[in-house]
Amino acid sequence: MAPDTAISLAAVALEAAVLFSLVRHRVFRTFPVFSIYVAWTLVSDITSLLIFTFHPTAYFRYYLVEMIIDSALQFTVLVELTWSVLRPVRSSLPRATIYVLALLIAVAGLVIWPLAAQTVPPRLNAQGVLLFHLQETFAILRIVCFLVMASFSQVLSIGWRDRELQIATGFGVYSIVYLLVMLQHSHQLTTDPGYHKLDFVVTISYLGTLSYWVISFAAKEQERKEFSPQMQQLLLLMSGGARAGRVALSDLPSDRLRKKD
Amino acid sequence: MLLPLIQIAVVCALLVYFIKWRGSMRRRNTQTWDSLLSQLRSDWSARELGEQFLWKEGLTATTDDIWQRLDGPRGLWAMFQNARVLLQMADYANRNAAPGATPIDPMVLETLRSDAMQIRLCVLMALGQYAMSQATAGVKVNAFRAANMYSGMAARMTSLIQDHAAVILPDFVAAM
Repeated sequence: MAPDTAISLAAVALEAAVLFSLVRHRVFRTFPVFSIYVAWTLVSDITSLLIFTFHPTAYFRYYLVEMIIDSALQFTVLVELTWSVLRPVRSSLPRATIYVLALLIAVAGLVIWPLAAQTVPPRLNAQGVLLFHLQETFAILRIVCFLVMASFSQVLSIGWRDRELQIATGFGVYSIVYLLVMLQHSHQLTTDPGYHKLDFVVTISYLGTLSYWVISFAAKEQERKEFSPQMQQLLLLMSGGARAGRVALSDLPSDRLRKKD
Repeated sequence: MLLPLIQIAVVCALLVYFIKWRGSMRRRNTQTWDSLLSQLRSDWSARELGEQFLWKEGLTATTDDIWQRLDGPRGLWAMFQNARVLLQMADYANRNAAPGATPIDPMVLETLRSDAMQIRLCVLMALGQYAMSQATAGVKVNAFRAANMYSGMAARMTSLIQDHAAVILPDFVAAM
């Protein structure tokens, strides 16, 4: 078996395992778009293997179409993840926020598109240029989105749940490795001997990301720690607000508060 | 030759930032309640904010007085950090409420988050303005708003400890 085929089969097996984990541990309920994306990568990689084996001449055209659909799905995954991170403050945001987020990410993509064009390697054909350009734009967009989300959540001290962190870690590390390789490619010719060796690094990081997701989704979320009624009361009182105050006062058993009632 | 090196250095710096941020988020998710309490800044006291700080909500002093009592940007920064701890407490509560116990009213968590975020935003605005133009009226108004919300949260906390854990009240009052 050729090494490329073996790697493709390994990727398909890992994608199937990630999908199984998403369903088995019900992560798909919280991240339906991400689950659809993983299912899509599985189906598209199997199709790609079949086309490569039986219709090699049609492969590149298929790959280009697949990349466009893949990019559109990645965009929706970014919107879903951003919206999920904003969950703690969601109720205080206007209803249209999710559309504004999608628009902001789309605008960021439009700004990155011409910048990414500067690093397309020389002597590629038209389809190759489009493919490289699209992939690099989305790699930069993913990194920009994660950086903005990370810094924004640090300033406002918004916590990330384990699953959100796992998805972002997988995407983030893969995107950074991918971008490093793309940057190196932009200063190489496709005929350079080391050109395709660098692609191997991307493949390894993709397999690593899938393995990380399989392991992390299979693990249970952080076990609950003690949260005593005292701790709960502490939060009730600290939170203030008219309604919170009523809840706290009605729950407090002290004489002083009973007199107030 | 220099450009590729700069590009790669920038992306590597991003990778380091990403790994560090990821580590801090992971640590945040595994913190205990005690470690959260110990993160409240104890080297700065907000006691000077009002005559009855910790016992009564609301500030009666002027914006100029509050700015002086806050000790300027130092006090603002301490409130900024303490507000982060309060937000983490809200997250802790949300994550760790026992399944069988009375569920925490989402409104309560929402209010706590909202208050703490407002404190952080007010402090950031005040510090940003202070960096540009020193202690102008705008800086002092933002500092006053942050201090007012902070004193409200601190007073509610004192009341709770007094009613439910009076033993630790002296420690708490000393720390604040």
